[in-house]
Amino acid sequence: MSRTELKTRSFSNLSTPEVKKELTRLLNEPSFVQYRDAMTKLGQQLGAAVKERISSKAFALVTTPEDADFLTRGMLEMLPRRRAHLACYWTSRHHFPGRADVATVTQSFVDPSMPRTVETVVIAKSIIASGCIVRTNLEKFLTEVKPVRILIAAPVMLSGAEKQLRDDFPPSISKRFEFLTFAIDSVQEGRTVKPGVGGQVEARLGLKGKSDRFSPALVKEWRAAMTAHA
Amino acid sequence: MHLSPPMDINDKWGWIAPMQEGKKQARQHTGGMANLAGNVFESHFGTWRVVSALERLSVGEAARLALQLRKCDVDDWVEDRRAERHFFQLKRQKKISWGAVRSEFVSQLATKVKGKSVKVSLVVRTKLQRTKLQTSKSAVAGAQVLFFPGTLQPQEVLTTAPALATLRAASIGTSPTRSDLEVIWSSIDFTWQKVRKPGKFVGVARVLEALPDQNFPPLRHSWKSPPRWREAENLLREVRGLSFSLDGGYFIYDDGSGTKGRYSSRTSAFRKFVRRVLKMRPKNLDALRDIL
Repeated sequence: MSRTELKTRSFSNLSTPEVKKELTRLLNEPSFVQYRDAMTKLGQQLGAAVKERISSKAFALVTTPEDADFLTRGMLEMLPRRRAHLACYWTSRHHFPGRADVATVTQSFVDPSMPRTVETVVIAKSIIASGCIVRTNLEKFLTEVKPVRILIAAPVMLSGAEKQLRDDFPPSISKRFEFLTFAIDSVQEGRTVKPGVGGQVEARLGLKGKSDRFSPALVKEWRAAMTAHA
Repeated sequence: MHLSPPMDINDKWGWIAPMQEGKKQARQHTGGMANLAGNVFESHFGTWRVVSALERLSVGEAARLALQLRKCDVDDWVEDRRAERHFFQLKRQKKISWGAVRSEFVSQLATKVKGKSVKVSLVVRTKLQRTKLQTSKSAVAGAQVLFFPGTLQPQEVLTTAPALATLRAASIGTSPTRSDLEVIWSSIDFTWQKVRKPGKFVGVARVLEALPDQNFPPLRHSWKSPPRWREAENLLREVRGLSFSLDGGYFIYDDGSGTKGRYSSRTSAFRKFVRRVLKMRPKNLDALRDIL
C-alpha cells in the first residue's frame, strides 16, 4: 500500500495486526489463489467478530455468489453452522447517468429451512462502496424473513457508505443495523475504492468470465446437505 | 396484452379535484414559471404522466405527450388524447395565486382544438395550496387544480399510486422491492429524456418502443418465442423437480430446493439459455443449474 493510500484509510478497533496483514495481501497483486486465501482469512476474522455478537438462536447469513466461497465460507468456519441459514442473491446492476447505481435480484437461493423470523441476519460483502448490492439483497431478504438485528459485515467500507445505507431504509429498519468492518477508505476512483480490496473482486478472485448465474460451491454444498437431510 | 384496464388515476388517487366555478376574472398576468428545465418537480411529474400514459396505452388508449409545446400559453406539460387536449402549468412556489396565471389560463381555455375538448390544470405541490386555490374567489372558471407532492420520491409514486398496480405487477412482480421500483422509474425517466422533443408531441408508443428490453418486456404488445423454444420447453419439462412458467414476459423458474430466478424472456441472455438447453439437453437439476 502506498503512503498516499495509507493516508486515506482508517482502521477500526476490530483490525488486528493479522487483519492488517491480510488486507495488505489483497493489494499486493497476488495470484487469484493467494487472493482467495486472504479473503477467506479475512472472513474468518470477521466471523469471529460476528460470533461475539450473535445469540444462541438461529441466524441467517446473506451473501453474494462471488463472496460465497471465500469471505462467507471463512465466516462460517467461525460460526455455529448448525444454527446458520444461508441465502445467496444474484443481482443485475443498472447504471443511470447522474444517479446512484441500482440493482435487481435475478436469482436467489434461500435455505428451504429458513425460518420466517430470525434473531440476527448477517449481510456479508467483501467491500461496501455505494451500498447498492447490500441494499438490494437486504430489501429482498426482508420480503421473506423478519430479523431482529441486522449485522452488515465487510472487511472494507467506503467512508459514507454507512450513512447512505441507513438513509436508504426507514428508521424502523435502519435502527437495527450494526456495521462490522476492519478498514474505512475515503477515496473512490470511478467505481473502484482505493485502496479498497485491490480492485474488482470478481476479477481478483478469478471469477471473471463465469456465468452470471453460476452456483458457488458453498450453495451447492448447502443444497446437497439440505436434500440429504430431507 | 398482459395488463388489465387501469383505474381512473384522477378519481382513485384523488390528486386531481374539480375546480369550483370562478368569479370575476382579473386581466393581469404576472408571469409564470419561466424555466422548469432540470427541475426535479417537473421531472417527477413528467415521468409520472409518462407512466400513466404507458398504463393507458396497454388498454389501447394512445396519447401524445409534449413539454413546452409551441404556440401555447400553458405549456409545461400537454397531453393529447382522442377527444381531449389537456394543458398543465406547474407551480412549485410556496405562494401561488390565480393572478399569476390568469391571462395564460383564460387564453388557453379559449383555444379551440378540432374535435376535442380543452382542459387546463394548475399543478401545485401541496394539498393546502390546492384547497386554497380551489376555494379562491378569483379562481379561473373552467380550470382545474392538480396536487402533485413535491417531496415524493420516485419509487413512492410507483408504490402509492393504485392506478399503477397493474403496471408494477406486470413489470416486476407483485412484491417489488424499492430497488426494483427505482429501476422501473429510472428506465422510464431516462427513456423519456431521450425521446422527448421540447415543443413537439411525442407518441407514448414511441416511448414504449424505446424502453430497455430487460426491464420492460411485459409492456410490449406481443412476445415472440425464441427459435426452437417449444423444443427447449419440452426438454425442460422432463427435468424432475423443476417448475417454470413464461409469465408476464418473464421465464420464471424454481428448482424446488431453494433456488428461484427469472429471465426476461426478451433478452439475449434468455435466447442463449434456450440454445444451451437445446445443446446440453439437461436431464436433471444439477445439469440444468450449470447452464442457467
